[in-house]
Amino acid sequence: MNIDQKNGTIWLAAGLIILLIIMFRLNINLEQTEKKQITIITKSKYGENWETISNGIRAGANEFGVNIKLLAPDSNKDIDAQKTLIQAATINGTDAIIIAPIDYHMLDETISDLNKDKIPVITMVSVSEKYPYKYYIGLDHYETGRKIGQVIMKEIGSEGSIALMGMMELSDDIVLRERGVRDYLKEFTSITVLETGENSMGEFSVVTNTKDLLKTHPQINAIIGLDEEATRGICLAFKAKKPGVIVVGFGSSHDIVNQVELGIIDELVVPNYFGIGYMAIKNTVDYMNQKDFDRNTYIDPMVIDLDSIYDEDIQKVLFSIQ
Amino acid sequence: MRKLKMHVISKGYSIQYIIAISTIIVAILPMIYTGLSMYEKYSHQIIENSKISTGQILEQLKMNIDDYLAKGITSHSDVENLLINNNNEYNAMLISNLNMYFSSKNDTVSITTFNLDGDLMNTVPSVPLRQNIQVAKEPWFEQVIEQNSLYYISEPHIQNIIQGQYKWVVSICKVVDLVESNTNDKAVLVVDVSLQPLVELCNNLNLGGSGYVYIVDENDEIIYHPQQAVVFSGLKDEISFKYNEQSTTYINPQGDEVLIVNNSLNFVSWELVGVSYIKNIADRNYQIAKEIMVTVPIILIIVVLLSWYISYKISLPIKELGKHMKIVEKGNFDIKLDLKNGELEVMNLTHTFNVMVKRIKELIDENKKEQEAKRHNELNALQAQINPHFLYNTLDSIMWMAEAGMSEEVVLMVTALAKLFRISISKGHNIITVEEELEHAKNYLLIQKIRYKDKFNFYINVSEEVKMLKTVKLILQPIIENAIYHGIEYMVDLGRIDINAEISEGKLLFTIQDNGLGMSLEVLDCIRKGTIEGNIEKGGSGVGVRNVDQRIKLRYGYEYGLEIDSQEESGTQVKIWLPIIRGE
Repeated sequence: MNIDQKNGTIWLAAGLIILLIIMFRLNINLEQTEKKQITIITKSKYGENWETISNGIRAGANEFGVNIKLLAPDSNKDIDAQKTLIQAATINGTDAIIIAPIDYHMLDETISDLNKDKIPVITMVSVSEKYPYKYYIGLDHYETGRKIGQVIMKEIGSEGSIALMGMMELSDDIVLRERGVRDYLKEFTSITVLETGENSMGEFSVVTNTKDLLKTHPQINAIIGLDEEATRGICLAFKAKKPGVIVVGFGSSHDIVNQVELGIIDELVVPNYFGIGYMAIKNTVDYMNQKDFDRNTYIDPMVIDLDSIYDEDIQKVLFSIQ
Repeated sequence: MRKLKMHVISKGYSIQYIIAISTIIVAILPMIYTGLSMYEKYSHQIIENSKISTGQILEQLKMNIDDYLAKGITSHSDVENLLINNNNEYNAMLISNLNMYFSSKNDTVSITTFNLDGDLMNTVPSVPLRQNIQVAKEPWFEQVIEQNSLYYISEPHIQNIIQGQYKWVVSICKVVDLVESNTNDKAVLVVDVSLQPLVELCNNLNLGGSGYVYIVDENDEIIYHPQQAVVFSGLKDEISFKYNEQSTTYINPQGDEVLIVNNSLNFVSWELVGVSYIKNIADRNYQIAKEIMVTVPIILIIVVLLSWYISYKISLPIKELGKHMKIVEKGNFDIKLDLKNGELEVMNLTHTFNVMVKRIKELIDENKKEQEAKRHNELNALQAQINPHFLYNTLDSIMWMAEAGMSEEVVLMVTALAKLFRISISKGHNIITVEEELEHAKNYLLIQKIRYKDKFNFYINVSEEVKMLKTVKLILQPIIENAIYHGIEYMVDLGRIDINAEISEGKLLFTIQDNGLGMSLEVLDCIRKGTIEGNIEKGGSGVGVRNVDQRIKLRYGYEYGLEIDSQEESGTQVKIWLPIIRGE
């Protein structure tokens, strides 16, 4: 190829420009190696579970090389505070937000605004059937319900009566778990699910309702707590182990695990909150780096009983080490 | 050919371009080579250094964990000493002392005593205990009893004696002597020390950003991992590390390249495994690369600008020179390039150029003058042929002869005149054959001989070989004319003109010899210098010998021309030297 001088100069200039652009791009890429920031907004500052999730988040952040900002309202019922935190995170600048929404309906608009601002949003822990978001990490609550159903069947067989306790009025998660239990039992057993009073008052309601239930249905085979509060309420109502009545609980807090040791709870369904926190960061980093990941990452719960609490492998999952 | 030449010129590169490109290439290639080799060398070095530094960190961690375990053993030993000091009696005093000791030790979670059957004897602190504690069947308990007086250090586990507390601990166990109810016996003393110091030691390590440490036992089973809830729930696969394996780099199950460094603890058969991510280590490479990426463009821009400037400075005077050459090429020699700045070579070149242009101009002027003179002389020579004076005299003679009835002479003269003019014209050629020139001379002599009534005779002598040679035309006539007008006309005796044409000294030589009056040395000198010409008044052509001499010299050079030799009363000899030219 013959290159005359004029063309040569053009080639040289073009080469230099391309070189500078490449180096500029490389520089940008190198700058991109600087740590990204992920804001995590949980439901509450307090509580063992949130602490465990935070531990998982910190472990993930350390491993995947991101900075994290953990924010939470004081109360897990303060929707406005959570909304404000989301808006503040947007204003202060963040590369992604992981949120465990207290109320999907109330936060829908705020979360939609994040999507408009093209800030990656990943939800965790809780889901809403009415407001399904693209990305979720946590329990598959319906499948958890089915797993509970499985445990019930293992404990009492395919006949008998049980009661389901939970704050169904307050959370879609618990509604899904209840549906999972009911569907499983309906599918595989002839177990009757007894109706109970509303538990909207929380632990206190559960205690009262459990006591009432034990009085009205002394032949009941099992009582199931579908969330931690309900499980605590059942344990409080029982005080001591009642022969013939199986208690299946839900939760990972030490006080609930202790109820297993005390023999009140026969089977405990334990969510892996550390894993949820860790995977939330992993998926968010993958999302930001445009890598493939499961849009819905379900972290399976495990089922423990008195014999398996101190099993070497189980205790490593059950008790956070941080 | 011309087209090709132009093409080659147009495809050439300017000196500025060549210098600039060469400089850039010469500057950039070593820069890129150096940059890349430095980057390569440092990258490799950084990994090697990381291996060393991770090894050092793990060595430090090993010492700290050994120290941590040693403290646990010391705690156990302290408790045992309390027992010994209490005469190995298990009584209220001992329990009181153990409580005091416990309260002074932050990291001690519990001090528990079991009898050899595995029944719980006592626990400090005094808090509610788990029900149905059965340790007799647990493998560690059997091992402690087997080891008898040796310490047994458990793997990290959840403290499982105190109810409701779920603390990660390491248990230091040993069989001790115990006197209870006046009975000598043995018991298993278990001191649980918090795992938190070990966790903090591991967490506080800096293994390059995301790096971490986990611990495996002699069966390669993970006994501690900072993310064990993730690893043991199957959310993350940990690299399968073989005990005592050499430290090296691996691709972990997540696809990341990791540097694994291991170290064994002293008190227990545990292996510390340090995991560093190569991408974190490579962050330092990115920093180096970043610096190179910032530095190289700056240097590059400087090199480009500088080389462009230098090449511009070098090529500018050459370009100026080129411009002036183009002007000269167009025929303008009235220029002088006056460079104030420039390289020595270019200045010298410019000077030479100026001299050359000046010389060319001089030569052109000279040439022009010569050409003008040549044309002038040729013109004069032609004009000589139609000299009205000569023509008038000739025609007058013809008329006179006609009147006198000398028809033969008239015919002869008219024929000679016609031939004279025909050869003079010669179809416009300036070069004719010697034969033609001699024929011309002969016709002229014939006319003059008639006019001068046979006052002279003439003889022409030429060989056949010489006849065919070429000569400038009309060179003999002016000489003959002079011989007649100045030499023979005023002679009393019969005049004689001899014309010879021969080859002499490698040249063509015409010799015109008369026996006329000749001339004095002064006159001869003047003629040689060209200050006296032929006399027109006397019927000569007026062109003269100088014209002949100049015409020959202008055409053939100064080695040719006329030679005149004369002596008073003896005659004159004129030699005309010409080059030998043959052919057409």
